[in-house]
Amino acid sequence: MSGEFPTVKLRDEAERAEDAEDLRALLRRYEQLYTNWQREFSRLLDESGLSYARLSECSGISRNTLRHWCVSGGAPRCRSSFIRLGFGFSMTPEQTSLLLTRYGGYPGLYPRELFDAACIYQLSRGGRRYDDALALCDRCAGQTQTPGPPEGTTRAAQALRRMTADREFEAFALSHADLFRDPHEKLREFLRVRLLACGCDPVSGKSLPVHSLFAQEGISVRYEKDVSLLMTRGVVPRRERLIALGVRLGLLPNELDELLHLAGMEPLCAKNRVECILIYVLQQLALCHPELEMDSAARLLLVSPEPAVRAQCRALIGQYTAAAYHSEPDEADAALDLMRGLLASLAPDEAGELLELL
Amino acid sequence: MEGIREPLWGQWYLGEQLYAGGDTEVWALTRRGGSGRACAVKCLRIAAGDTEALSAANEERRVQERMADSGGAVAILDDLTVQTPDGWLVLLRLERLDCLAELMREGAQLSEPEVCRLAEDLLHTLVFAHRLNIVHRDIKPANIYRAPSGRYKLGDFGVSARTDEREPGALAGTAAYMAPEAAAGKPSGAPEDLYSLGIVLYQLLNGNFLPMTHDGSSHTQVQNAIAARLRGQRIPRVSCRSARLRRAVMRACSPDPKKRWGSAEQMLAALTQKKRPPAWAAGLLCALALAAGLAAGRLLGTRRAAAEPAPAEEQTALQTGQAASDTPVAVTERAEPEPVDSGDAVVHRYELIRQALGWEDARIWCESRGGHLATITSQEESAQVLALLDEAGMQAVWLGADNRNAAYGFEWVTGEPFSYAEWGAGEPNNDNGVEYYLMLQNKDGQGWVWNDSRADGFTVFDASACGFVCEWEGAS
Repeated sequence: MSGEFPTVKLRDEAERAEDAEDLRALLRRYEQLYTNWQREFSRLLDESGLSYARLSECSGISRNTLRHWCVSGGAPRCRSSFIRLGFGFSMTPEQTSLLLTRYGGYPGLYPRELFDAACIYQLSRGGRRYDDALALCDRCAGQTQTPGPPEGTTRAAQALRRMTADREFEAFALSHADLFRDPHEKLREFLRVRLLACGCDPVSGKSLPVHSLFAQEGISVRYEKDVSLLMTRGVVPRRERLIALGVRLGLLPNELDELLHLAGMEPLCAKNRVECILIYVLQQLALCHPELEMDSAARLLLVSPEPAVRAQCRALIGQYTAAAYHSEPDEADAALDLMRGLLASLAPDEAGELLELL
Repeated sequence: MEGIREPLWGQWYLGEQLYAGGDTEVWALTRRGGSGRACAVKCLRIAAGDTEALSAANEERRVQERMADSGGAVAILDDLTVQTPDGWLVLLRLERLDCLAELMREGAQLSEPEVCRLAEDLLHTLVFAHRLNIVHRDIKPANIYRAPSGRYKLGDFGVSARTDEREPGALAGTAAYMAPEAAAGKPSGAPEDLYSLGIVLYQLLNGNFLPMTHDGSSHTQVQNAIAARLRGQRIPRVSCRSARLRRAVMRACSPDPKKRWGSAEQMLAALTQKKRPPAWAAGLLCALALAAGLAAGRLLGTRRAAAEPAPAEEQTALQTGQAASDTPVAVTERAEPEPVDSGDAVVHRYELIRQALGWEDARIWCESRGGHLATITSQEESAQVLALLDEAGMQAVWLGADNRNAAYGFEWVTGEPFSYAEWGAGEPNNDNGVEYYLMLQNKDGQGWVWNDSRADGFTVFDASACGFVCEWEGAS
C-alpha cells in the first residue's frame, strides 16, 4: 500500500524482539500488515476501480476465479496467473515481480528467460496483454537464434525496458542466444558451493555428493529433486522450499537473503508472518551463537573458489578465534528445534508446509 | 474452525469460508432448513496466555454493541468464547449483508440519489458514533454494507477498538481512504472518518475510481495518486449534478482537517437541508438588499435572465455588498441553492467581492460560500470575468491559482489543468521569490493581465479598487 509501514522497519523490529512473547506482541500489533492474498488482491482490485468483468477482460482470468480470490479466500496457484494479473492491473515489471515473489513464492520476471523477457518488454510498454507477450515469445522461439555479445542480466533488463517496437525485441532475442541459454548461473553456483561446504569433511577435504549429504542430514528427498531440477534445467524452486533448504543447509540470514536474491526473489520479508518468525529466530541464533557464523565461514573457506569470499571467511574466522569462540556441532540442531517450536505455536496454519519441509 | 461439527448457538452450521487472515476467519452460517436471515460468524483465534489479544477482541465486541442502538452498524446477534487446547476462540455471529465493495466489483454504479442516501445513512451512524467518542478509522467500501431494506450500514469496528494501543506511525485504516493527517501519524479523530467517507463518496461519483484515477490508470498512477493525496494534495472537483452533494464531498475531502466539516452533524445538515429557501425568505432578502441601495450589476456576472427569481446565492452576494465595509465572513449562512438536474452544460457564475483581503483569506471566503476563487480556463471565461471587473472599475483582483508547490508550477484551486493563461509582459517573474499567487491586474498599456503576486499584493493599489472573484458552477 501507499505510505505503507516500511518492510525494513518491521524487519528491524522483528530482529530486535527480546523473546517469543515480544515477537507474539509484534505479530499481533502489525496483523493488518502481514501478507494475505485475499486482502492484497481485494485492495488491488478496489484501488484500481476495475470490476471483475473489466479485470477479467484485461487479464484473461475468468470472473469466477477473480471472485473466488476476493470472496472465498482462494489464491492463484500457477505463475502465469500472477503475470496475467500484472498485465490486468497495468503493473510495471518490478511490481509484477513483487507479486510473483511475495504472494506466489515464484521468482520475479527474469530477463534471461525468453517468455519473461517478452513480459518485461510488454509490461514496460503498457497497454499490452498477457497474450501479446505469449505471441511475441512464440514468434521468437520459432526462429534460429545466434549467439551475441555477452550480456549481463541487469543490462538485458534495461535494454528490454527501453525497447519501443516488437521488431526491436525480436532482433534482440535472435541475436542474444547466449543470454537465454544459461539461466540462473549464479544461483546454481551459489548453491553448488553451499552444498559442497555443508557436505565437506574438514579432515579429508572431500565433500559428500548431494544424495549422500541429504541422506546423512535427514533432509527430505524432495529437496534433492529441487536441486537436480535447478542444476540441470534451471528451474527455480518455490520460495518456501528454497528458504527451507537454506535453513537446512545452515545458511546465515545474509546468506539466505543472497540465495533469494539470486533466485530473483525479495529478501526474507518481515511482512510475511512465517518469514518474520524466521527472521527473529535467525537473529536470536546469530546473537546467542556467533560461533555458527564461524563454522559456516570455515566450511566455505574450504570449498569456495572465489578469492573474495575466501578472504572474507579468513577475516571472520580470525575475529572469532581472537575472541576465543569455537563451534559446537549440536547448535544447528538446537536452532532447528527452536524454529520448529516457534512456527508451530505462532503461525500454525501458515507455517504448515514449511514445518513439513523442516 | 473447519473441525466444528456441532451447531453453533444451537442451530447454525458453518458454510463456506469467506475470509482467512492472521488470527481471524469469517465463515458463512447456514441454518437447518435454510430459513431466516443470512448470518456470518467472525472467529478470532487467541493463543493461551495472550490476554492482550483477548481484551482487544472484547473491546471490539463492546464497541460494536455500543453502536447497536444507532441502527446503522452491522449488528452482533450472538457471541461465544470457547476455550481450546491452544487458547480461546471468540465467535461473533453477525448479520450477513451485501458488501458495497463487492457490489462495486460486480460492476454496480450507484446513482447520485443512491450515493446521497448512502451518505446520509452513514452520517447518521457517524453522528451516533462520534457522540460516543467512537472513531471508526477504517471507512471504505469493504466496510460498508447494504441491508435488504436498502439502508447502508457500517461494519468492522476492529480498527476503532484498537485505537488506544496504536503507536504513532503504525497503520490504522486503509491508505486509499486514509486522511493525510492519519497517514502522517497525527490522527485527528472524527474528521478522519469524514475524510474517508468523502473519498468513498467521491469514488462512487467518479465511476468507482479513486480521486485522480480513471479506467486505464496504471498501477503506478493509482499508487502515485494515493501518495499525492496522503501528502495533502487537493483533489480535483468531482463531476456531479447536485452541487450540494459535490460541495459536501469536496469539503469532506479537504486535506486540512480544520477545513473539513466541523462534525458529521454539520455535513449531514449540509447534505439534507431544504432544497430552496421559501419564497418569502427570498423576497425578504431581496427587499433588504434593494433597500441598501446596491446595484445588482456591480456584483453579478450571471447569465441568468433578469426576470428569473434570484436564488439564495445571489441574495448572499447582495448582502455581502451591503456589508462591504464589514468583514465578509460576518455574512450569515443561508440555504445553498439547489442546482438543476437537467444534465445541461455547466454554467460558471462569478461574483466580484470588493474586499482587499489577502489571497488565502479570499480563497477561504469563497469556499465558505460553497464556491471557490475563480478559475479561468478559456477565453470565454476570461471575457465573463473581465466584463464584471470593467463594470466595477477595479484595479486588481485575486484569481484561484497559486504556485506554492513550485514543482508543479501554477495550479488552479479546483485541480483543473492550467493550460490557459494571459500573463502580462515579463510575468510570472516571482520577484524576490515570494510571488506565489495569481492576480488579475489592470496595467497601463497592457489592460487586464495576469501577474504573480505576493500574498499581500494589494498594498500598492487603492484598497477600494481591489478584491477577488468567486466562482460557482451549476447546470444551465
